[in-house]
Amino acid sequence: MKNELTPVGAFGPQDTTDADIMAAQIKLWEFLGRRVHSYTTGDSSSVRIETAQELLNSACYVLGIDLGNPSALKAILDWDLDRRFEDIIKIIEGEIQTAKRLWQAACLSVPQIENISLSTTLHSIGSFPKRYHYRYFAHVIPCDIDYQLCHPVSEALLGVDYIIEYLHHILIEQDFLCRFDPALCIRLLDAYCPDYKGQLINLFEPIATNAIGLAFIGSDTLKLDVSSQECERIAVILKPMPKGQVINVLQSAAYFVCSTLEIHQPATRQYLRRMAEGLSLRIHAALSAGNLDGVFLSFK
Amino acid sequence: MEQNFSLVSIQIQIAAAMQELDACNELSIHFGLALTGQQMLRLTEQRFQALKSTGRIEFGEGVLKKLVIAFCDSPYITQSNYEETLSELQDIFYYFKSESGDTLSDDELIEAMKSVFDGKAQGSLEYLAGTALENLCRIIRGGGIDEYEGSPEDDYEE
Repeated sequence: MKNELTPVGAFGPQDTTDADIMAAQIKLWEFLGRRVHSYTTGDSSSVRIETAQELLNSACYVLGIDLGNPSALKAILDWDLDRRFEDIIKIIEGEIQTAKRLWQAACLSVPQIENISLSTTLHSIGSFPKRYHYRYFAHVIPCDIDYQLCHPVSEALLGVDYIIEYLHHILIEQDFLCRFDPALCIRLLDAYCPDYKGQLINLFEPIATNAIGLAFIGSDTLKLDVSSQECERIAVILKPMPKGQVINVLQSAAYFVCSTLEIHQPATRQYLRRMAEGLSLRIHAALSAGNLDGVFLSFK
Repeated sequence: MEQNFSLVSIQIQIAAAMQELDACNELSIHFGLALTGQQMLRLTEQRFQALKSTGRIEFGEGVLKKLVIAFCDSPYITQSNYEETLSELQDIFYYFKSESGDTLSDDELIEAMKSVFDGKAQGSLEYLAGTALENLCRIIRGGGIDEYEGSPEDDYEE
């Protein structure tokens, strides 16, 4: 006979005793009981297993305990779980305020490029503070996040941590886009995807790709249009280079783009550098197929 | 190890439930009702079976103590059917706790059960579970008990 709650993975490194494991399990069980009592406001002694599981996941996220990690045992035994929980809840409350500020900044820096998924995602994140029940479901992300980032947020991040990271990425991308003429951005996006307004595409990547390509051959980064001759020129230069060198030269071009656009924030420079690394893989594949037409785009 | 966690939780709860039921005997004995150690253990084990079959998990005080306190003065419960009735009431409780979508608190559900059991059901557990509580849950699912106007007894008793 056993309950169906499945909270604990590897619980206890080799050097722990059975008594330690038992003590940690009892302590965690009693703590979870208090979380459930708080959740039901004492009205119900029992909850659905799924609810208990979610409350446990949330509590572990708040406490920073990974039950699949052997170090969880020592943490559970050493910590005053209730006190730590309340301390971190205060930090989460501060993070929610940070998320609010980042969201406001993101809304104020939306580029003049229409894209439904970006609008609806930002709209949805706006209701995050109201919908985020951090005391009981801190690990949940109660938003519809459709807009695809150039660099997706790690799925290891949950709750408000995910939202903050997502907004950081959005801000970097939007700040970058706003440094270009919106009309040129729209012409490029139109070439990239005629339904760029309605499709779930990332706006940053095609713009940054062309900007890096233009910077690489010393053309005007801000014009965004990579002519077929320029595209051919890029291919001719890159084709004989080994992979590692392609990454290096593209990352240098990315830094040049940052300098041209007067982007000094390390996070943004790093973001573009990562993007250049990904771009090198696409270029390698495209060159194997013969040309870079699908990588660097010309205006229609 | 997850199994150990579950087993620990059950061990803790069995010990707590046995203590609680033992204390309940002091109250129920005034109505000619008492549970033996074996009966307490069986009821406690049945509690976990009921929880498992309804997909629930329980922390702290179980509901058995509350059921004993609520039902020990019922004219339809005697020493001969005490354990069996408590066992059935316990099953009914967890079943309808889930069926009501957790909208009823423990105390509200027990109050409803007691009201029907001593009233229209006249001690019939079949009537209690099969008719009255089904009706109550249907009302709750149809729009919530807060939106339902009328006497609670009407709800429970058709």
